[in-house]
Amino acid sequence: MDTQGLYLKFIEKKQNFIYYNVFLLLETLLLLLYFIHILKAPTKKKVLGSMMILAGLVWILYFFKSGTKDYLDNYQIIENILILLTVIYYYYEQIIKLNVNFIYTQRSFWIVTAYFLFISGIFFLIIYIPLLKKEEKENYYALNYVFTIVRTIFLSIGILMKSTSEPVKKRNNNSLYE
Amino acid sequence: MIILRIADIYSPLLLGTVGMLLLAIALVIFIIFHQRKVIRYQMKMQEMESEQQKILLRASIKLQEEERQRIAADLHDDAGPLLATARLYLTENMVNLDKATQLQSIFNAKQIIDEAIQLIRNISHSLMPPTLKNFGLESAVSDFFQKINGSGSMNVNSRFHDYKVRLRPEKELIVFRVIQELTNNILKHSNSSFIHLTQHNSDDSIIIRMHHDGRGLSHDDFIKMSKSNVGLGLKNIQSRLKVIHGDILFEQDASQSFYKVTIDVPKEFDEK
Repeated sequence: MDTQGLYLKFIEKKQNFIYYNVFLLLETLLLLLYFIHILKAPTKKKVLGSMMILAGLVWILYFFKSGTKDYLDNYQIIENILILLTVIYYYYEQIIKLNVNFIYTQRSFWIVTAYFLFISGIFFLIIYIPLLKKEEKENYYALNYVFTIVRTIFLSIGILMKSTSEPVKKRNNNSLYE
Repeated sequence: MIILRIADIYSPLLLGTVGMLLLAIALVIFIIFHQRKVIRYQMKMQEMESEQQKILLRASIKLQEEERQRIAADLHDDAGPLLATARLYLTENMVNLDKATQLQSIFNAKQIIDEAIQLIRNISHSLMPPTLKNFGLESAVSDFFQKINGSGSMNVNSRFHDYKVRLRPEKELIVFRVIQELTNNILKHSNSSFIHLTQHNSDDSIIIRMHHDGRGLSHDDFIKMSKSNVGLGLKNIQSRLKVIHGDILFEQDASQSFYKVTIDVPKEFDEK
């Protein structure tokens, strides 16, 4: 997606805001769907479903206001907050719920951490970018690319690793009289 | 592509980004280490629990083996010779044609067979006391205590305050065996002058409490002994109670003059 964005910006010398903004909505919905898949809380469908509806409504509101002419910065702040909250809940669940595996042996940990670091890295950029001058915007936008690379590395580890559902260490219970 | 000036480095955007990133990294590291710690602790607990289960299982197997050996010994040493003697009398009856001698040997054989029947009945009663089966825990305990009182060595009494709905038979047997074991321990080791057993009901469980004025155990002693290689009886109590999800607590009375043992047995829906 970002490769496409870079292509549009530097090769075609144009920015397609509709394309970016639609991607923003898709990104939110797909990430929340992924969280529904990995979280264990019984109310996850209700809560995350409500978050998806909320994100959809906010996106529609911003999109029809200025979505065809400008990038939806405000919507991205809301998206980032929603994802951050869900990520923090995911970590909380990993600590609270009994788990037989170390967290870093699970694929979901690397994928969630990829987004956690990415969102943490660009959070202030997204907040400040509307206040910056055009030259400063281009300078600081490098942060986005740096964290996109970090995210891609973590996502690659998550996708390429073999997620294990086996306990870390099997106890030997063979004999009563060992 | 981008060269940030010194002034830019101290901009709120960069500082905020660095701060946020450090927080995020710290959180991820904390979660990794905390989760490792929790998992290691759980594994240690599981190992300890498994070890404890092994000890209980061994005690239970040993108890079963002892019970089997006792039954085998009773059958072999008592019932076997009795039946062999009865067979001898009946064989003699076939050989001897004298009517009076025949009648005498039939009578002797009948007496020996009666004795064998009584012996087998006793073995059967020791496995499942008939009072317990027919009249329930209250009567069985009362019957058991009467026998102890009969010896005159100790004053033993029981009082069931609310035992209208009986526990399931298998549960009653387990509770009865635990009471028997505890009473035997008190008789053997405590040197007390009395045992007083009471029964109460709570919302979800039945509570049985035994008091005595001799030397007793604290709960720490009980746990220590049930984990060690001694105290087979205590291990049996623990493993029996585990089957019915019951609890046991050994403690000293507030006045420090009595010891009490409290057994808490959860009730099933149909036992309430």
